[in-house]
Amino acid sequence: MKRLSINILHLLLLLSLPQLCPAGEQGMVREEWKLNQIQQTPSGFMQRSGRDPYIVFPPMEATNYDITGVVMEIAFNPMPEKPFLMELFWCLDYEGFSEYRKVFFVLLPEKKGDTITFFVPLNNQGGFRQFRLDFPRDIETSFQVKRFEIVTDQQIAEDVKRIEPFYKLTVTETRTPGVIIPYILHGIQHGLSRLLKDPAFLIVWVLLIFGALVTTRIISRDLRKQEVEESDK
Amino acid sequence: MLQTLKNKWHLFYANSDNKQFLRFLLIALILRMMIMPFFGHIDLLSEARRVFYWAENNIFIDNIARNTTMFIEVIFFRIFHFLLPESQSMFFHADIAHSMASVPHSFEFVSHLTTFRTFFIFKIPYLVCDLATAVILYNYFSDKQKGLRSSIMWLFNPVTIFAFYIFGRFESIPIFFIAAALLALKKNKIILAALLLGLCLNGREMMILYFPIFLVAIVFSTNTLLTLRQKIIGSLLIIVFAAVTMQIFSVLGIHTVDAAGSEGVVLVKENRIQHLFAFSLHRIMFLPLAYTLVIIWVFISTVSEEKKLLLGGGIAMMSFFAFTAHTAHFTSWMVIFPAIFYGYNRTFLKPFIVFCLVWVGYWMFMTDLGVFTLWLAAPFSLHFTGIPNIPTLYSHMSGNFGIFDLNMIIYMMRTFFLASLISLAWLMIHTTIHSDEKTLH
Repeated sequence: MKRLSINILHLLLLLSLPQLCPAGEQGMVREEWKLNQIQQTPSGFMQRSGRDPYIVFPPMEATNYDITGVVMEIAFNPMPEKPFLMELFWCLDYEGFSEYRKVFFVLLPEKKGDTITFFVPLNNQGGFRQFRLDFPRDIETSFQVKRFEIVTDQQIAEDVKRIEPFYKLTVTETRTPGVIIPYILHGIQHGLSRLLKDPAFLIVWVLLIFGALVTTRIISRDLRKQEVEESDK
Repeated sequence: MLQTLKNKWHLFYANSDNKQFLRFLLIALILRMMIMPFFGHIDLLSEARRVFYWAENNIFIDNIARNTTMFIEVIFFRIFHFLLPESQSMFFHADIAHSMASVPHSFEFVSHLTTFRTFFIFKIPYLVCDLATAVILYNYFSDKQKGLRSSIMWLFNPVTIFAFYIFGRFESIPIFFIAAALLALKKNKIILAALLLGLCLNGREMMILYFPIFLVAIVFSTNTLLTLRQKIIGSLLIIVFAAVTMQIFSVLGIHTVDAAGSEGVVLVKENRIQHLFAFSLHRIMFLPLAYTLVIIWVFISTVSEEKKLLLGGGIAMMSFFAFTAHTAHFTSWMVIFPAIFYGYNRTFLKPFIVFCLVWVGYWMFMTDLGVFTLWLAAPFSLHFTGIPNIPTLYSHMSGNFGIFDLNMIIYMMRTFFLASLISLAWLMIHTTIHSDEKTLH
């Protein structure tokens, strides 16, 4: 039987492992992350292995009421071509993840680089204990969560993109004027602000409507004039 | 040439009725332009993907049942494509047969920065056909006041505005062709009518309901102005178009594959066709019953072909909505009939208003008017998708309402809807049979 021994070659191999696997330091999945239908590639990236890929992050030490959001940095290989939808769930100790304790948001692909860094604002009076991040069920690209940082104040670096989160209202919330009215007003404001994202269309659209309005006014004026003339006759 | 057009325009504009019509047309255009960019069902994405695929591959005719609609959409897309910088990212998928009809796909689609212009541009063919239908209705009557009345009902009813611009479906295209066919029939241009109706049949599968009515009306016509040659050509034309719509050649064993690689489906094998025969009582099927009565009336009646298609087509289409399951935007198919009859008879206004109100009520409780909060308002703001829909809200609120739970409300609304259809149908029959010949011809 061959004797098991450690020689200098083994030691060299062991020391060079981080260099051989550069993602090991930063991109490798931390042990306390629970991966669902996600598998890790040798390069340290992750790939979905089913139709429900998500990561459950470790619970926080204590329920935190001060959290204002999460900053994430996700690398993609390659960068997706289309916008894609992600969901962020949270829960407390005594409850599981639920459709009513989540936000969803849509990430737009970056034109330069392979990483998207963004801030997702959160507003929940009940506190947060644990988070779960869901990736698109048919995501075809590899991804690597480089940063998942829970923040407790609004001082986010200016270069970090602020993402608009969307969430579901319960029936009770919908029947509460103090909740539903601001919610609808925010929705309208958000929709109108999106118009500014495509200024060329906005200008053409407004001009078309304005032109049709002016023409209608001219026709109405001519019509009134004609009616007066006909009644005079 | 230009001078002739100028003279024609001045002549047209000198008439106060024409001015009024133009004014209403422009108001309708403004209303439509204001809502076009902001609403749409996921079906619009599915359709847009197909149109993108056809246009990119120079496919104008395919082995599908609705080539007219496809052709018009592809032509418009080719014209306006340069205004859609994100079309590749929005619509391209390596597998065109891959379904994108899901909530995440819809939300991803509407999150593009050029979503509003995309919705606007994709609805332009629907807008053109919608307004062209109004022009047909205005010209349908020799009395311009009647035409004005009819076109106003068409332009300002909630059903078609919802279907074409909020749901965002192509229904205005086949409807334009049935309107044009009716006008051609009124002017005794049978071959043109057959051609236009054939294009209508090839614009939407369910328009096939018009085919037997038109065929029986032409073959058994007692109109002395129609020659045998016109009858034969008209009949043959409509048979060919109907055969294409039904993909009847597939029944004969010819294997067809569409451009996306999917196997051609014969109309009679499609699931939706089962709806036509779903409503029955002791083996008596109500839609076939109503349809048979229509065909018998078309066969024995001596009224003009135009009125046979108008009343027969209207009753057949309304029977479809009375006795089958359908979705909110399909109702737009039948609005053309009360709109024309309103030109003939002013009393149509009140029952039509009732019909519109009941339609809104029925679909509010059935699916939140075509799942407004889930899909339709998503292009404007995804925040609206977080609001529970009306059926959900009513279910939670109706705990103390006794027997008036959600199901009861839906049944009641459906019954009201049926009553409004019957009242419209009765008025259509009454107008056709009892009105003065001068009024109708």
